[in-house]
Amino acid sequence: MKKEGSLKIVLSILVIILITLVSIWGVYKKAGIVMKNRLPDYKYGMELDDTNLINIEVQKEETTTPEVTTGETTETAETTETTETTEENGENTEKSEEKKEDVYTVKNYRKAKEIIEKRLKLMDVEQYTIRLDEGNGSMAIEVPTELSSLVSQNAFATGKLEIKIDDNGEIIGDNKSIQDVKTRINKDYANVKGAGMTVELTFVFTKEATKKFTDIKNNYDIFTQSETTETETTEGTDPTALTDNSGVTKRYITFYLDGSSIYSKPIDEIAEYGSTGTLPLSIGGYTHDNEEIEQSLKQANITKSLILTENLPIKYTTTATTSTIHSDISKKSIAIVATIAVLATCAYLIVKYKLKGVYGSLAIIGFISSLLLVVRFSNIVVTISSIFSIALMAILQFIYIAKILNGNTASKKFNEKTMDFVKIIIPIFLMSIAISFAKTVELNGFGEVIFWGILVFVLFNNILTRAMLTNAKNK
Amino acid sequence: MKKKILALAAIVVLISIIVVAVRGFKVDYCFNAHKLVYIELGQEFNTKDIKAITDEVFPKENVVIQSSGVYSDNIVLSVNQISDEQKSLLSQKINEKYGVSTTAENIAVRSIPNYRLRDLVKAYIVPMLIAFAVAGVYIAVRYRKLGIVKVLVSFVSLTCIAEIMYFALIAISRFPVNRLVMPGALAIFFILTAYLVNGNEKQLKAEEE
Repeated sequence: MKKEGSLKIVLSILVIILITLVSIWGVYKKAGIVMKNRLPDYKYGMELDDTNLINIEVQKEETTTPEVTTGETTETAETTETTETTEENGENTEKSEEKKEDVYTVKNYRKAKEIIEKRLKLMDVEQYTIRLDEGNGSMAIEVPTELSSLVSQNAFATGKLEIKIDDNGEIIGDNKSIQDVKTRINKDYANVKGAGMTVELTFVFTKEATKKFTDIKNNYDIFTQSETTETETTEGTDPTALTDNSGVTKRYITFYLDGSSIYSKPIDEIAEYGSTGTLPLSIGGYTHDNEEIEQSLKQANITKSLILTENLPIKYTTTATTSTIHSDISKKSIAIVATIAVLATCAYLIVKYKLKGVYGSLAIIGFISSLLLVVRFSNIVVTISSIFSIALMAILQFIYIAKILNGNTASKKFNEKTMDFVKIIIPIFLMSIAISFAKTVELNGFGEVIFWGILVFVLFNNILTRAMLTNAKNK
Repeated sequence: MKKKILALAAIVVLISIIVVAVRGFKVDYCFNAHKLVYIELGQEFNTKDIKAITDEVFPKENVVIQSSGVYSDNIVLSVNQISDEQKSLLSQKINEKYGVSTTAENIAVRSIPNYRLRDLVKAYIVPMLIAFAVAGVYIAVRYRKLGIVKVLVSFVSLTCIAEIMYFALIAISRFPVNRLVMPGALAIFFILTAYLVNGNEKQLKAEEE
């Protein structure tokens, strides 16, 4: 029994040493000619990593006096009419200036900020801070460096969607016609040679828009009389594709986003899909390249974010970007402080409890190392909040070990004390699950660390700490 | 004793309400409106050297010094305000120290608006309320033998008082609201819940015995 007990202690110590070494230094494997760490790296939040600061300002439209074309047309008329028209022009100019001034209000600045926030969330930009100057509408947006170009190129666009019939310019839909936009990677042909994966962007139309498409399908002409004769050909068009034998051309519906065409197909095709309520489009073509697919998915999400959010009420222009601002919080300092705290705790335990104190210290070090390994593998974003929660879990482990060491560490007493502890942490565990679903990175990082921390706490202490302390000699 | 503590807590909260109403919370740079001073240095620098320069140029002001750029060769300072004289003095000191020829015109100053504390707190409200409700349900069910109303009232009142006192002390002590404040509030919430549950467990154990 004694030998078995000693063996368990030795094995536990070796496992703890292994976990600690792996957690601190990693596991290296040869990749080509270099040794690469197989462990995933920590994911740092904006507070601890590099960020870009984008300054945007309101782009006020220049108010130009309208051309005096109305004046010219009334030149031949009596002067009073001209004067009245120019006076009307003056009033109209004033009214249009007033209307434009109405746009630059605190309400619209706040609305613009909300719209930009929604877009960032739809673009899967999880971390950002937006500061608004309500005096002049300018904003300072801080985002992780790697997402800066994505944000600055797309988040501040007006986002105006227009669904138009090309030949007569009839607008049949806009942003309000879209109920939802879904994006996904279509892997149906992933294993087909010559095909591959593609990104699908599906518009889900509102009831009104679906009715409109049904109306188009049933009542609109598919062809329009071409202005060209049979002998003439329009440059860049293939007459055999677009025209039927009588020389008419097919009508097209085009989706425009901020004036740029994003999708264009014959009216019958779009109306057919639109009348069912959905319209799927392929972004980027078929490919087996994962990076290309990721890029296409990003593009699809950008389009989604611009369509699903309202149009920005004000135009913005980027005035400055401060790139790659390094955090003022040193990760090295945090590591040093944490190490000193752990070593001080271990010293206290060893001085107070002697050999059992050594086992207790190993239990604390092993627990923290295990938790840090779990943080790496579960992709938890390390922020100030999650560092707080790691510290909390370390304190929990210390209190637990101190409680166990205080008295007999025989198996029965160990079980009793452990059960008492588990009963206390059950509501904390449930709370951590609730917090883990929060939308902000700071909150869900806190919750996830507590969640995993408690699971590691239960497993680690019931296996390794129990093996060491229950087999240690009780004086 | 309990009444004395409650009375003291009430006084602290009242003072904090007056302080917040008159002066508001003191806010750190990470949330406050400030000026971002950007200097393209073109070479690596020591933060201590820059600190010595900023202590001269911005006396009695806490300046946050960061580096920027792929090679960390640009200086980013966060200051309350910067005048033209300070810009000139700053460029002069940097030129003396690093042998570059920066002018006041080369120094870019960008206005950074404040980050509303409301936006900071807003993100925490719903998740904390849900966590609160989850913990409340567990406590009510687990400790029903001790009296559901009694345990719930003590849970709700103690956690609320603790959080209010936390923010009250921050307001009174003029501790700058920074990135540590909200995680601190969360930590207090979790620790207090564990403390209350521990007390309830002991009571339950005593009653069962």
